[in-house]
Amino acid sequence: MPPTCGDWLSVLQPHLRPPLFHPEGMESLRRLAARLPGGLMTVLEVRLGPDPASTPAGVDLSLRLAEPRQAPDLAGIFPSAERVLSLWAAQESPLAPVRSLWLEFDHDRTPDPILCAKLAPGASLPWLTGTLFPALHGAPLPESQEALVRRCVEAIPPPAYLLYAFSLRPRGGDVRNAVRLEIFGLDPAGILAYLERVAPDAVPWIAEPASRFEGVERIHLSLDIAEEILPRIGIEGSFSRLPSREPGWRTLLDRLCRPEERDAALAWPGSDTFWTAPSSWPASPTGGSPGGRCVRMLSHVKAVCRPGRAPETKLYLMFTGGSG
Amino acid sequence: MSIPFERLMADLRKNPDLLQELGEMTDLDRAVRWARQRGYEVEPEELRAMIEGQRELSEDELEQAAGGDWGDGTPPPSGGGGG
Repeated sequence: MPPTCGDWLSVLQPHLRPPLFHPEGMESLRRLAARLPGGLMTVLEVRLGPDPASTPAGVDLSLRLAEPRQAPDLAGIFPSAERVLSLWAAQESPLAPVRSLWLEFDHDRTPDPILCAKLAPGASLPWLTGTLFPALHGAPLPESQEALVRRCVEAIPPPAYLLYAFSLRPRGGDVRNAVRLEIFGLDPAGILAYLERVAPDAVPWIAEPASRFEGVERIHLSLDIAEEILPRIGIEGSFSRLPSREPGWRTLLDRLCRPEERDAALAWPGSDTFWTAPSSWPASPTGGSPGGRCVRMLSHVKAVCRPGRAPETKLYLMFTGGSG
Repeated sequence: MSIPFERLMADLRKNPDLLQELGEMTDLDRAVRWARQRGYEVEPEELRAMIEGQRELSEDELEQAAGGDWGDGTPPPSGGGGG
């Protein structure tokens, strides 16, 4: 049996400790991971906060399908995603422009994954609104929502571009009709200039959180769009180099979380092998060889901004089991 | 994996002394001889990745091994958890 995502979590267990991970948040994560295939790029999302006692301990998880041939395995596990996964994997798929597909699992909500499509620069707007979003969302977008999506995409100033597109329908609640646009390549001033064009009411409460991302190499802006742009906007930042080579990581984390959370985040990158985790190492981690590694990387940090509230910080920690 | 190799793996997990002995070997041929002398008729290819796993990755290799979306300079999305 090839290892599951849960098997790799067992290897990572010594690293899954406070202040980033809490025992009460681990059980649901383990249950989910045991159902998922190993060997895919996986990202764990943890919430950070000034008061650990009031910060939710649950951990969300995302998996990346790097190519369509990986989709059928997941389609059998999550029927709600089957249609999109099968469509992406089909010959001459209308979803062929999708570069990779992420499945995101919320720890405290429906077991149906949120689907997120990674796009290339210059993705066609008619394809986006006429094919991709209806596929992800399970239905065409209402005319007014589609018009707003068009307006938001057309307003992106090059070289920034729409990198990810989501449907938030599986999340239910007040965002069940929303789609998310994640825009890559705007700096803090660019974020404010862009919002001035599409959501000027947000500028006053985004200006301060956006300033915390000054000097960050890679910035994403995420907007949730229903009949209007919802008053919850995410800004994410990361660097391409390891924290040991990139002091900007520390500066960014200092602006967004407690020192002990920062130190734990900076210590996350590394790798495990059979030799560092012999008792938990999967019997056949690469489908035949006991070699390979479980590589950990710092992915990114996000500020979720809402009017009248302090930004909420989330940290994204990546691992890939069985690599190399 | 061959049955002898599976048996070696199982014994390494149970026996810290055995684990330490093999862990001190960085030369593949020597490791294969060591295993066979103890009754594990393993093939060199079976041991290769395991022996290579003793070496810590350099920072360059770690960045390279992360691969995937880092290759094109764009990190993963962040959709979970209502933000």
